[in-house]
Amino acid sequence: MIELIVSHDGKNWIARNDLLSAEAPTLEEMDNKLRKTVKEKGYLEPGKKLDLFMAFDNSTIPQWMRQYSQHYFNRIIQVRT
Amino acid sequence: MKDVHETEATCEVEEPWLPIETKLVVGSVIAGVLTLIVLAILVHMFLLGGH
Amino acid sequence: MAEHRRWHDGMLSTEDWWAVWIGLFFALLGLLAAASGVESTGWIVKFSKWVDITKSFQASHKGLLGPAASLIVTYMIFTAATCTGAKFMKWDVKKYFIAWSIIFWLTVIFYIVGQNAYIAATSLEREKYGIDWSLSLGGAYYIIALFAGLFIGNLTPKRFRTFVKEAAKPEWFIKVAIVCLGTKLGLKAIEATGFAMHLLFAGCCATIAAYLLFWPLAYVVCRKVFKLTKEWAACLASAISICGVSAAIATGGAIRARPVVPIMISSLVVVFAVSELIILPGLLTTYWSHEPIVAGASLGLTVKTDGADAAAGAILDELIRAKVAGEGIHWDEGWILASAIMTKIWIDMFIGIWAFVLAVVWVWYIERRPGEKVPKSEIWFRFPKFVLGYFIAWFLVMGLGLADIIPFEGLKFGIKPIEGSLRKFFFMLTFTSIGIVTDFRELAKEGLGRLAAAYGTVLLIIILPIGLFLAWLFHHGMMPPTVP
Repeated sequence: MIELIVSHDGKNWIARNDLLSAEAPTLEEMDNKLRKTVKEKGYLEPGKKLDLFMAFDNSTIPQWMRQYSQHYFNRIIQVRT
Repeated sequence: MKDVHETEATCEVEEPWLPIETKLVVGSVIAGVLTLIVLAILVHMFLLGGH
Repeated sequence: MAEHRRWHDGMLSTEDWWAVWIGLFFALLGLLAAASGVESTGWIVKFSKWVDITKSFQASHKGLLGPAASLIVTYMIFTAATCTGAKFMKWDVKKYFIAWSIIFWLTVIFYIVGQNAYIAATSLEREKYGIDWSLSLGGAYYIIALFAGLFIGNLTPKRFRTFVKEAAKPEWFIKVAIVCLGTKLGLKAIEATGFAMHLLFAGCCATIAAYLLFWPLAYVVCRKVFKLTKEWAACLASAISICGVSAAIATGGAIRARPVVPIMISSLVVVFAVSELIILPGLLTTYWSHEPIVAGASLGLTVKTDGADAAAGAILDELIRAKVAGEGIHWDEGWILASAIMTKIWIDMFIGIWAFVLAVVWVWYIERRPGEKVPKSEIWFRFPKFVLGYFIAWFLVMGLGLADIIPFEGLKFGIKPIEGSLRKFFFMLTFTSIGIVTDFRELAKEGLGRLAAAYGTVLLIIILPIGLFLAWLFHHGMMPPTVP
C-alpha cells in the first residue's frame, strides 16, 4: 500500500507524497493520473494489485469549523495491471 | 492555499435526476415510516405506558 | 498537515478529544472530592441571584474561599485547562489566552447582570430578596450573553471581532459542558434511574425515525424544488436534517464533495441555528409547557448544532420551570435540558454510520468510481468523541452511587460544583461565543441566496413539523421528577 495526502485548493484535488503527485479538477481524473504514474514508475508488480490510501489533509477545513468535526475523508483506490 | 470559501460559485447548472436517487429516496422513506410505526408501538408498550 | 490514519490520531490535537480530557479531568476532581472529602472542586465560582451585588457570586462550597479569590482561582484554573488544550492543538496560545480572557471576563459580567433579582427572580422568590416586582426572566443571563456576543460578532470593529474569535469556541465549550452534564445525569439517575433510561431509549428511537425521514425528504426538496446539484443537495440535506456543521462535513467527505460545499453550507447552519435558539424556547414555553420533555426533545431534533441545541435546552429548562412554578409545580432542574441533549447526542453518534453508508452508496452506486474502497475506520474517525466522555461521566457517577461505593451525599458534595457551577459557566461561555461567531453578513454573500431559501424552506416545512411530531410521539406524557 502507498499512502498519500489529499487536499483541495479551490480548483483542483491534489494527492501527493514524497514519491508521487497528481492534481486534477475531479477525483476521477486525479485517480487516473495517479494510476498512470504508479505504473510508469514501476511501483506495481506485474499481475499484482496495489492500494493507494489517501488521507485527507483536514487542515483544508477552516479552523472555525474544526471544533464541529475534524475528519473529512480517507479513501482507498486500487491499481491493477 | 487559496481561500476556497471565496473563489467558488455556489450552485452550478441543474443535473438530471437519476433513477437510483428515486430508489434510494423512496426506500429510505418507506424504511423510515416502517421504523416509525414499529418503534412507536414498542415505545408505547414498554416506555410511555409507565408515565 | 492534520490527517487521520491510525485510530488514535487526533487524541491530542482535536477539540473533540480535548473536550473529553478537560471534562473528565473535572469530573474526576469531583469524584476525588466525593470519595475522600478533599476540597478539590469547592473553589469553583458560583453565581447566584442578587440584590446586593457583593452576594452575586461566591465559592461553590461557601466559606472555602472569599468570592473574589474563588473567581480568580476559577479564572486561573479554567485558563490553564483550556490553554493546555490550545497548546496541544497548536493554536497561537498567546492570542488565544488574551481573547479567552476577554471572553471570560465579559461572560462574568453578563452572568452577574443577568442574575439581578429584579430581572431573574420568579414571583415566588420576590419575598426572599425583599423586592416587590421582578421580570421573572429565568435564564436571562443566557440571553444577555447571546445578544452581547451577537453585538460583538456583528457590530464591533472588524479587527476586534476577528481577534476575539480566536477563543470563541462554542462547540468546544459546550462539549466540555456536556461531558460535565454527564455527571449531573449520573447523579440524578441514582434517584430516578428508570426515568433516565426511558429518556435514553425514547431519544434513540426518535432519532432513528428522524434520520430515515428527514434526509430523503430534505434531499428531494433541494433537488426538485431548488434545483441544487447532487453534491449541494446531499450536504444541505444532511446539515439540516442531521447535525448541522458536523453532518455537512461528514457528508461532504462521504460523497467526496469539494470542501467549498460544506464550508458554505456551514455558515448557513450557524446563522439558522442561532435564529432557532432565539425563537424556539419562547414558543415552546408558550405552547408546550405541559409537555416539557417533548419540548426539550424537539429541540434536539430540530436545532442543528450542539451549542445552539444545548443553549436552547438550557433556556427552555429555565423558562418552563419558571412558568409552572407559578402554578405550584416544581420540576427538578436539568431534565428538560437533558432531553434536549439526549436526542442530539443520538443524532451525533449515528453520523459516522450514516456517512459510511452514504459513502458506500455514493461511491459504488451513484458516482460509480471503479476500484475505490471506503475504509471502515471512517466510522470511528467521524464518531463524536465527546459523547464517550458524556457516557463515561454519566455511568461512572451513577455506577459508583448505585453500587454504594461512594455515598450519595458524598457524590453530591464533590459533583455539584462540576455539574452545577462549572457546567453552567461553560454554558455561559458557549452563549457568548455563539454570538461572537455568528455573522449575519454571511447571508448576504454572493451565491448563498438559493441555499438559504432551500435551508429555510426545508426547516419550516419538514424539519420543524416532523421533529415536533416525533418528539411528541416518543416522549409524550413523560414528566420530569418534581422537587419538594
